[in-house]
Amino acid sequence: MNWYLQSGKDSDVIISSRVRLSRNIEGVPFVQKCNEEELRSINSKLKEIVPSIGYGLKFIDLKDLDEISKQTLVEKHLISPEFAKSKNPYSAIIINDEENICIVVNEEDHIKIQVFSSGLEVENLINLAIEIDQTMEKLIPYSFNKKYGYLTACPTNVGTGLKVSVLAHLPALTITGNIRKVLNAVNNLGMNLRGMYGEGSKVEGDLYQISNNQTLGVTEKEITKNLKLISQKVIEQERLARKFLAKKSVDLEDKVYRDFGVLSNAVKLSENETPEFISSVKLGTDLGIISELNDTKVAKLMLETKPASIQKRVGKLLSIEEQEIERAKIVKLIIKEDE
Amino acid sequence: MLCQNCGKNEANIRYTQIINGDKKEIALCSKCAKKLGVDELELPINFNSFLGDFFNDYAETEFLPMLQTNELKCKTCGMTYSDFINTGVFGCSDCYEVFSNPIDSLLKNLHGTAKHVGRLPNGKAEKIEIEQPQKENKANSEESDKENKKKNLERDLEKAIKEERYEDAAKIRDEIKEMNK
Ligand SMILES: [Zn+2]
Ligand SMILES: [Zn+2]
Repeated sequence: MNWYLQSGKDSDVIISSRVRLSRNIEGVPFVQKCNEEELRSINSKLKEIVPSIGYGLKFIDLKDLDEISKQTLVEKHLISPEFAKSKNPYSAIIINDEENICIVVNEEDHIKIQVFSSGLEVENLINLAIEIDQTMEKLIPYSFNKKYGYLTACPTNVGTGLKVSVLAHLPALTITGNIRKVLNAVNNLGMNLRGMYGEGSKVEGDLYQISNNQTLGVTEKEITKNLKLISQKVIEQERLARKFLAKKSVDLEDKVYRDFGVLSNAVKLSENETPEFISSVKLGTDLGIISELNDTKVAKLMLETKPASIQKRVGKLLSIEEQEIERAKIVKLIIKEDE
Repeated sequence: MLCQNCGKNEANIRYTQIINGDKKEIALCSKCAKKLGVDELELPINFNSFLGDFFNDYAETEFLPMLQTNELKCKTCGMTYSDFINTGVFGCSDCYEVFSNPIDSLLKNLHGTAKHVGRLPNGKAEKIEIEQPQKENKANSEESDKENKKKNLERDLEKAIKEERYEDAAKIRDEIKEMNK
């Protein structure tokens, strides 16, 4: 089972964790200033070393992926929406079957090592990322400067080149109106907490990302530790808010079962409304109110109801209405699925 | 947190920038927010020009006269400081040296420091482990210090054995024994 369908540590609140290292190859300009030949050589150099990195990694040129496959990677947060649209013919990804490692080639920097896990798992991830990084730096000399550390195109990533982030599900803080307070507190601690926006300005499915701002003048351990501590604080707050909600259990039960009712019975489900219903039934599942679902089913609901995933499953492009009908069918299937 | 623009006043406005559909937040004091015309939350503006203004502002008040700084040019990749202001990204590794003077203040502003303290290439990487925060109050702190010391010793012992430094291992073992008395 791929990491994003597994249930991890503290996964009632933390959906997933990610660690990213940005690196550039010594003696080659950053991607923006590369000429065709330089981009080609970065691409072929990385292709060449993939077997030596191990982990079952495979090299895939982005141009060889169809639009839906690229969007599916975006929906799983494995690549950025901008990268999926990249016109650079030498952009590529290096990925394994479990999809817990995804190295991006020729985005803003030459190399972006990313590792993923479900739940709150930042320590194992940072150690895995560093292990991969150490293997790679023996095969490719990195651009490094004693004063500024690992050099990156954007100065917001320089130094360690490290960004640690977690995706948090915060419905109770949202319902109880406390999300702003937590947002401010976390941001004041030098971390970045922001909503995951869908279409428009509404935070989609009560999902928030916590990540570090500082990459320079701070060690990898400090970044990881601070992020973990702050995540634990947020988890604590969210669980407190859930306890508070559970006091008015009839209201809560009514809300989550109404939303469950829509998911179980609707014939058409739109892209916008679905995350809200899923957020609600996830909360109901985590609080033990809804017994019809479990962690894996909820993870499947979150992922397999996204537009590209639906079309990938069906194997063809669908109109918006066709997607809505298909989405409702998939939701019903997942809910009824036997373990 | 201090304002990410002037670095002087306490930030009290969170400002969200939308970059290609991806949102980023920046903290500003009310003065700077007004100056930059962003005293409203979640107003989408062009990120690059915002970043540019942000760096430019810095350049004007903090160091060299702008003209002089803008003429700085990286010989390796041809990037000028004003290119950087416009795009927000450097062209090559050498840019960091060429623009070292103006960017030091910028880096301090972004990260609170301009000096790398993290891993070095080809260095030994120790496994990162994070101890859980101690919940005991001060009365117990001596006890937990001892616990920590013991844990560290045990870790050292394991490492020493792994690296076949048996003499060190024996010393560490004795120390642990002493602590357990
Ligand atoms: Zn200010
Ligand atoms: Zn340059």
